[in-house]
Amino acid sequence: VTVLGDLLTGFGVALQPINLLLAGGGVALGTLVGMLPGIGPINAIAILIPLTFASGLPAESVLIFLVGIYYGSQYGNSISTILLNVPGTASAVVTAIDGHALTQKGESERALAVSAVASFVGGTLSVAGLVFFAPALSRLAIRFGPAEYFALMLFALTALSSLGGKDLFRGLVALGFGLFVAAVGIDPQSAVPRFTFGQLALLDGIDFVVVTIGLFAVSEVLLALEGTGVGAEHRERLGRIWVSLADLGHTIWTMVRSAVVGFVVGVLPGAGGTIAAFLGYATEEKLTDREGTFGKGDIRGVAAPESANNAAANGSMIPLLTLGIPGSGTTAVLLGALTALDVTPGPQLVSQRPEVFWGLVASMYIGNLLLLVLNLPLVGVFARLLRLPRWALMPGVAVLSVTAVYAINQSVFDLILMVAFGVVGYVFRKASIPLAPAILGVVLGPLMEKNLRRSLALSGGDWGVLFSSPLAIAFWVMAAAFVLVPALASVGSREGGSAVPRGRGADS
Amino acid sequence: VTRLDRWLGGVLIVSGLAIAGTARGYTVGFAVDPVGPRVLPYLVTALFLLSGGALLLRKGKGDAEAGRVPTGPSLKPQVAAVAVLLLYAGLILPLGFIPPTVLATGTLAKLFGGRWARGLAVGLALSLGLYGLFALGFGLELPMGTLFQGGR
Repeated sequence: VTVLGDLLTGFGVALQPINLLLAGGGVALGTLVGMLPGIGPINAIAILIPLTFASGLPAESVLIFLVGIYYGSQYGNSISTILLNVPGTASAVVTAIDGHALTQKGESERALAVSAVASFVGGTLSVAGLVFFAPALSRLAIRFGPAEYFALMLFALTALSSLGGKDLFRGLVALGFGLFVAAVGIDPQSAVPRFTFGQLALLDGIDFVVVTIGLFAVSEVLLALEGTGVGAEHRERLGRIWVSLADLGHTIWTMVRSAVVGFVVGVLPGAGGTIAAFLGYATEEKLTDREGTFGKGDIRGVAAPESANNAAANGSMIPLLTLGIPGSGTTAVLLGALTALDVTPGPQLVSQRPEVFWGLVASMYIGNLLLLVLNLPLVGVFARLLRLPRWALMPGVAVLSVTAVYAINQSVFDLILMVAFGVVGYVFRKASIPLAPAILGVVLGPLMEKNLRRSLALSGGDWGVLFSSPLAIAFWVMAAAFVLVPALASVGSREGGSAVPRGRGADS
Repeated sequence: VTRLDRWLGGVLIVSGLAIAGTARGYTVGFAVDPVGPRVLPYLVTALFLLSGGALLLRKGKGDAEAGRVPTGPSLKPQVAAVAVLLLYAGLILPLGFIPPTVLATGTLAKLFGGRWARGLAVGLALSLGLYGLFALGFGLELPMGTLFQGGR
């Protein structure tokens, strides 16, 4: 009963005209950036942060907009994947298998329609999961002390480093880089300046927006100059996008099961949309593929990953909102945005800022519905935007990056830093080093350091305090498992491989 | 394991040691902060030594991956793009937001195989649109160009 009351409060927030507009605008923009190669939700959110702050909107409205971009992009992704076989991000790689096969059979309308419905089912069911589990987790997490938080963050960081890329060591390169960037500037606890190289501009540290846009957007522009991969053009005219009752009946349980799989994977740190889509697809292939049609244009092969990756996006909001611990690059950027808005995600959020938490949850129901209502009739319009030539799109991304970074501090120094991070990001991409752990390191680094030093201060320097509660020990064991298992497995082999297929872009 | 991996492994180990060396000097006398500001840099060093060592020492020769790492002349467009972005950053204060944005868009469009005139046209539209959105719409300050204002 109380949940219903809370949800009603939330709908009171989400149904305000401005918030409805922001939810609709967010999901439409998310669809667009998820679809166009080279932008992606992480860049879109980072680029929009200066604008949303300048707008003076309340925190819940900003969050409704930015999170709308995040889950909207999960659907937009599938448009370019199905039509062009160009997955915008890694989480759509699995959709490409059957989605593009259906396009080659001339059934792209069917694939796009089922993808939209699957995104809606996965999205809506997982918001229900969010309503159910987030308050419960908050009540548990309220008892976490600094030692538990430190171990939990370590677990999140190692999980993403381990699962986010080709092998563990490459993930650790990115994590170390992110933590180094986090250390730059005046240490807030001792006022000692660290790694400022005599630059006054570095005393305040490096803004996470500068790092994110540099690492992701600028490096994407440099990567696109190689001219590989993207560039396919979609010529076919699309007919009416509508899902048939037969398709719906055929796929509905696939969508529901994949939503559960995706939600669970999304809640866990590190795994994210790619692994959710992969597991959703693999589960359905095992359970339902009796005729061996998966991989040859089976509509269920589109429904499963699309439902799963939308559910994972929403599931990943649970650790972000209730623990304040993001499990992916995009949620890390959202945490940065929230912190800058003076909202501290964590166990107190649900009780102390109900308008933010329940307003967001209610808006996610509305946003998923809007996504469906917008997309069934408008896919054709979106698909036409895929013809935007690269010589216009990629310089546009570069100019947007420069404008957004300049707008944060009106600083030319920030622009130079951004370009430098772009070069680092490009080298990392070429060396198969995932970028998401770096962002997580930048955002979580200061929090992790604060909790470590606080727990050691409380214990008078005794490191044993870090292992003094069963919960902390459990997090340590999980963190160690993510480091040791892949390390042992890859030391012997020539090249540490991964069972999960990787797309061009990082799973951000 | 590619040549880039070996090179990167070396860079990581050297920078890891340099970071630890610098962090040694970060001390505070408070008893309330027993580990002090060194602990985070030391963690970075540990991560860099571990991952750098793995990239440097792991067995195996260059494989299919190696062909995807561009070298020498094939890196020209990337170097040009970085130069354009740095020049863009340097010109934004003296010339103001709009002219360097038009020029940078045009040059980058050319690098991506577009035509000059079209690239400049897109740049003009983009710069006016972004100026309208950021400066007029949201009140975020974008430079007008000190050169035209007689220095400010």
